[in-house]
Amino acid sequence: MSGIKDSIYSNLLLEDRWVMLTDGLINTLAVSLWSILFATLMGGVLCAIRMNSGNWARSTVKWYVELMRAIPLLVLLLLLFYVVLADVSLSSLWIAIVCFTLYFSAYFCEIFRSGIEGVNRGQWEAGYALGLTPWRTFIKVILPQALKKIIPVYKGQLITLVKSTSIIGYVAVVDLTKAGDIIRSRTFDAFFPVLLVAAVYLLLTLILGALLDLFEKCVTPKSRKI
Amino acid sequence: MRRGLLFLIAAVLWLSSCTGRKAQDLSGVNCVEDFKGHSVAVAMGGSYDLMLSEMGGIDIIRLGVGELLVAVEKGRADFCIIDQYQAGMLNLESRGLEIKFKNILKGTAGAGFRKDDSLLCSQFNGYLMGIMASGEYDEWLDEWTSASDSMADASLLVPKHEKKPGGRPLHVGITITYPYLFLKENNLTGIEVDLFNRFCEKAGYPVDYEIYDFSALIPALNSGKIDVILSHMRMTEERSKQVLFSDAYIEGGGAAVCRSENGVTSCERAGIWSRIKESFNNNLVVERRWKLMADGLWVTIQISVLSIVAAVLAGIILCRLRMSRRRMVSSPTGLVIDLLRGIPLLVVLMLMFYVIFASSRITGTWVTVMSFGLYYGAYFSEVFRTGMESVERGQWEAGFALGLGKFQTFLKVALPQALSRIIPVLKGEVIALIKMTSVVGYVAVVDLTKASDIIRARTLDAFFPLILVSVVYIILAWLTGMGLKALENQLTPKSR
Repeated sequence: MSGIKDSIYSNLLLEDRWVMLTDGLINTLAVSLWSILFATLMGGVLCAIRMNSGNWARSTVKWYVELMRAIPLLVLLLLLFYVVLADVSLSSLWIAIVCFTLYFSAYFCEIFRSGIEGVNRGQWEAGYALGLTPWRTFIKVILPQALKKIIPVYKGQLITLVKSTSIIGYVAVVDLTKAGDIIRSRTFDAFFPVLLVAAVYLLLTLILGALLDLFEKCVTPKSRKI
Repeated sequence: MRRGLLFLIAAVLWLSSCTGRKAQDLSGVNCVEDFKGHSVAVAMGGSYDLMLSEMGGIDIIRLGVGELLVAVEKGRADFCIIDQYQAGMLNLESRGLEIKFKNILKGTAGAGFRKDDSLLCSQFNGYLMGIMASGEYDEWLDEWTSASDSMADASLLVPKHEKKPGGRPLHVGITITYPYLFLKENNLTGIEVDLFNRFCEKAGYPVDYEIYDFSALIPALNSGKIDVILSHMRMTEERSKQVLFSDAYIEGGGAAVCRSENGVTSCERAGIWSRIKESFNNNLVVERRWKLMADGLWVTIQISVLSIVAAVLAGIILCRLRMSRRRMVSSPTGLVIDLLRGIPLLVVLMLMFYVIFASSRITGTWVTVMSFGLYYGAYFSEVFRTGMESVERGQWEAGFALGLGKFQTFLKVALPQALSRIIPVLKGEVIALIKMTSVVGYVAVVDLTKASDIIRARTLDAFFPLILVSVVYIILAWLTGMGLKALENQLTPKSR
């Protein structure tokens, strides 16, 4: 017990180290939430281009997706930070958000596409037969069915996104992981900071998962009370 | 896809040679006190980090060793601090950098022992005292420092003392730190290594060096993975609480590096191809560093293959338990799977290495395979389960109606249909597994990523090793994808 007490003291209370962790948590949350928002929007736009526009735009998006899936996230982050956006006066936090948006929008695009393509063509035709416009058919008929397929996969990808934000320490953003690492480098306590940080990530992903489950219940047709 | 990637890399390298911000006026900064109000990049957790943190008022940017120079080069930091001997060895002018001042933030380093291992510590101290009295110590230091003032040629000395066989070896945890401990022609050498080899020869210990991350050294010592820390570790108060330090035997100092005042940009200095050529030469050809990379690649492949096999087996078992009709079995399994998927892989790895297998002498490679097997087993089991559940009940009933047994129905009817759904998803997970093996450096395994980190720590080249390693991972992922595609074609009924 006294070991745990010592750990809490040296890792959290001494020199107000817990402040570093809460600041880190805020950065992690900021990067995660903004990236989720932007990446989802961008993924939607990419998916729309991929499925509708002419040959040229479509193949561009296809190449973009292939490229993003092939390049490791860390490499993309370092390249953006030190090379592509080196001259732009953008804080490291926003560069991280740009990076995660670019990277995960490619994954989201593919998830959305496979979800929408998973809906039987007959459903579109049924919508037209009822006199709905393509847009209304998409919203009223296709999307509710597609969402059912999209959300479980999307959820897994979001959790991956939140966990991958742990690499932003490489570009000098002090996030939760980096804060834990800095504390570890001071106290040389192998476990307490790591376990604490892991528990916070677990909590974050559980909350996110629960929110998405709730969302899924709201939007998928089967679970709606008629 | 590959052509696009090549294009990107070329574009990026070209850009990297041209971009960069205008330097600030740093002429007024002439000592450590003047750092106040400037941004200074340091290696995280190192002694410079600790010393500057205590001063306050400095914008400290904590990075990995490999990114320090590029941070200054691209104007992300005004200064970076690296070891003064290492700074002398690098070709800083070609990157538009210069050493502003040297011999700062000095401190003494010693070897670290476990608190309850005072016998070994006093033995080492006794040896140090002996050689200091006999003059061998001065001779040793001279030999290394006088080779040239930059110590560049000192690295030509390869240790004369080979490790002896027999007896229980001393496990020594090291971090590659130039010029104290480093690889020369892929052999471990350096000032401290030389000293310790001499000690071990005198005392009759066989010795076994293992490469750790700096922050992992003290935990490894205290959990019994290693007996000695030999890593140019400076003695600080907080470290002394956990480690029994020997007497100091060497003093090190840093150099502050900033951008050259005349401010030549890289584009004017050298063309893109000559820069790539230089990087290629520095990172791969010199001292046959490619061999380290090749060995690392082989380790990565071994770990990946073994882990995939272990994960598939664990996944099958977990899937079977999860799909059990008995809630007593299926719900705890579900909990374990959720837990494993919710915590970072690194935590699983560290718990396995430092807690569960702390006292056993099992190598990092096997701990890695077990951790990856368990962790990805949880992911795979869910993939298997969704695959199995997507096979309609009617298919099972059809099997039974044909008079097949339960196992026969599974094997002949359900599995082939499930596999066609499992393999495409599994492909993504397997590729994720291969990419994730890059964390094994934490448990003293020198894989591809760690090998490139070791090279980066020497050349302080941020991009070339990184991009090279990425390309290798992409090729590995691509080959794996092809292999699984071929497997899919073999197994699924449609393509037969």
